[in-house]
Amino acid sequence: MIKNMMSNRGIGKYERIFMIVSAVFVIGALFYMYVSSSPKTISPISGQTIFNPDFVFEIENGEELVISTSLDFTSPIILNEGSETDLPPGTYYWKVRNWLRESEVGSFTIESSVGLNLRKGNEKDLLENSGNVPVDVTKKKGGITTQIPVDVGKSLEVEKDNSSYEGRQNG
Amino acid sequence: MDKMIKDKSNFGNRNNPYLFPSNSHPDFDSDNHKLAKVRMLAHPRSIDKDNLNANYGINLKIVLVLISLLAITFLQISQTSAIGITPGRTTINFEPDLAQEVQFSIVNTEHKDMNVVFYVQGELNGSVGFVQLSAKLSASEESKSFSYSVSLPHKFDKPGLYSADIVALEMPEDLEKQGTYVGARVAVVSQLHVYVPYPNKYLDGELSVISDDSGKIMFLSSVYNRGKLDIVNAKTVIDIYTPLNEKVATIESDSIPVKSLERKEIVSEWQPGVNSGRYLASVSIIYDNEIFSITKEFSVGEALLEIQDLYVKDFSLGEIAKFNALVENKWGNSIPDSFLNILVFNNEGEIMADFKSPNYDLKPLSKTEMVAFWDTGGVFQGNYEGKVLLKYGEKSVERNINLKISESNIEISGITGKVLVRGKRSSVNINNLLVIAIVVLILFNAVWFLVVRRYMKKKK
Repeated sequence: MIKNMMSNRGIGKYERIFMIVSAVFVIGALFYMYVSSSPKTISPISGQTIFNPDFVFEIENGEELVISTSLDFTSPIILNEGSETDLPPGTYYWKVRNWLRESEVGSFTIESSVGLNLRKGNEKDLLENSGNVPVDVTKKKGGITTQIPVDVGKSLEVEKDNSSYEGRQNG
Repeated sequence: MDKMIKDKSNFGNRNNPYLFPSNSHPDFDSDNHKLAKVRMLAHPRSIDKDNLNANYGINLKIVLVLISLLAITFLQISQTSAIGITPGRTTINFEPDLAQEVQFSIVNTEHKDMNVVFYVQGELNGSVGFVQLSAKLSASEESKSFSYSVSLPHKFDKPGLYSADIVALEMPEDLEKQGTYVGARVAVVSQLHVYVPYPNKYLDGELSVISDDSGKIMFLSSVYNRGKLDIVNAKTVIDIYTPLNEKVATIESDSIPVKSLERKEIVSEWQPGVNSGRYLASVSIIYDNEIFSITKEFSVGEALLEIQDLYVKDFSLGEIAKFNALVENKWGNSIPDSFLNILVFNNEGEIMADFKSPNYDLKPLSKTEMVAFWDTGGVFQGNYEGKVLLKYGEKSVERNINLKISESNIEISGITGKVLVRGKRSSVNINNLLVIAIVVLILFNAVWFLVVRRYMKKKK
């Protein structure tokens, strides 16, 4: 029928082929765009356990990242590309969405990690909290014990001596 | 808890050192008696020259002692101690005669070869046994898993918390050769908490505060029923106070049941209509006519002080580098005596440079350029890690940085200390090309139908 219509309107063989190819291309392109524009959660992969103090959410084709402590996403945390947040240890569910669709739901667990770095300096040393939870540091020197709280990502100058430092999760 | 109550009562006080620190930044103490003593003993001039040729045996001993002391001095100077452990805490609900394996991992935070020694301390130390008492980690291992066994008794006399500390102590890599170690040591603890249930209803809890891009604040109250009886109704009432102790909001959650030995989370949202700054959340978890209280400080809005930019201009390696930092004070008050402290670490993680800016008074709601100078004489080209500390009073804003030092440039890039969202849009460009192609095709077809056909008709 289409062929007849085209013939009646004086459309030649090459024009007809061109039109069919164009139509196939347009439909294929629209289908590809629909499939490829689906938002995806890339990293952390679902079920991953993280103990680093800083990590990156990697997403594809997403406008917003939605995080919640519950699978039904009640009281979600909404983040945009480039934004930063602090997440305490626990299990989280997350998904990505754009104007059209949402990704599948992934989950990840932030495991508490206690870390201490003692960097040697010329005049003083630097004690860093390299974990992802605030720590209480017990400093022992010559029978004297002192407690020093060090928040996540923070550091403090300490005397250069033979003290021992013991870090434990506070609270 | 006493501390929490004390902190709360002090919160609105202008003498509160957390909010209004009065003393200036601490000066470095250059005294280091222990190191000086070791160096003095190690110095060849301390040997008695008269006896040097008289007794070779003694001389040999002295030389050996000197070598040992030099080695110790070297250890003291060169070792950077770094260790991590995960999880920070393992919680078990008591069961009679429970035997369980508990996994933990040592994190090699500085990616170096290291020796770790394990030991246990605390009231449950008799209930914990290690599979291995020491371990070696190579520089390529980011973390390594271990386990310990827990064997609980048939009964504890009292309900409540019983704990043990699983301690991982970092030892020098070549300790076996040295046989001894003098110097600061770093250890980390993975806590084992065993809760023996209370016979009644007993609620325990902790609070986390998270904010999102819309400025919404989420109060995440984790509640644990440590009792043998179920809790029928548990809800949180959160009062929010300004630093001047004025209540600005009260948020009440819905009630939820919490079964015996169960953990649940109560999430409360708050859309703050208040100025940026530090606030105090006083949380009352009300459960079946009992109350459990928690207090926690948190921030509303962006950070009060922000290092917006850090750069070096007109640099030449070996000369003095001028570091410019653009700092924004988002607070409504002036912040006096603020200064920038920049640390640069060498490949061993030691502090190879530590330099400061002069003190600045940061005017309210304005940006200030702070300047610090670093003499790069003797510094080699390469990539270095470092840290920028913006210190004000007893507080500081910290950022980890990377410095790429070349002959004529220092390129500084920051590392986020938080969870970051990064998008990947590789397919978007293809989509854009496809959209353009479709539009071109549609236009082409339209032109073909309208113009070419008309032309062909005319021709016929």
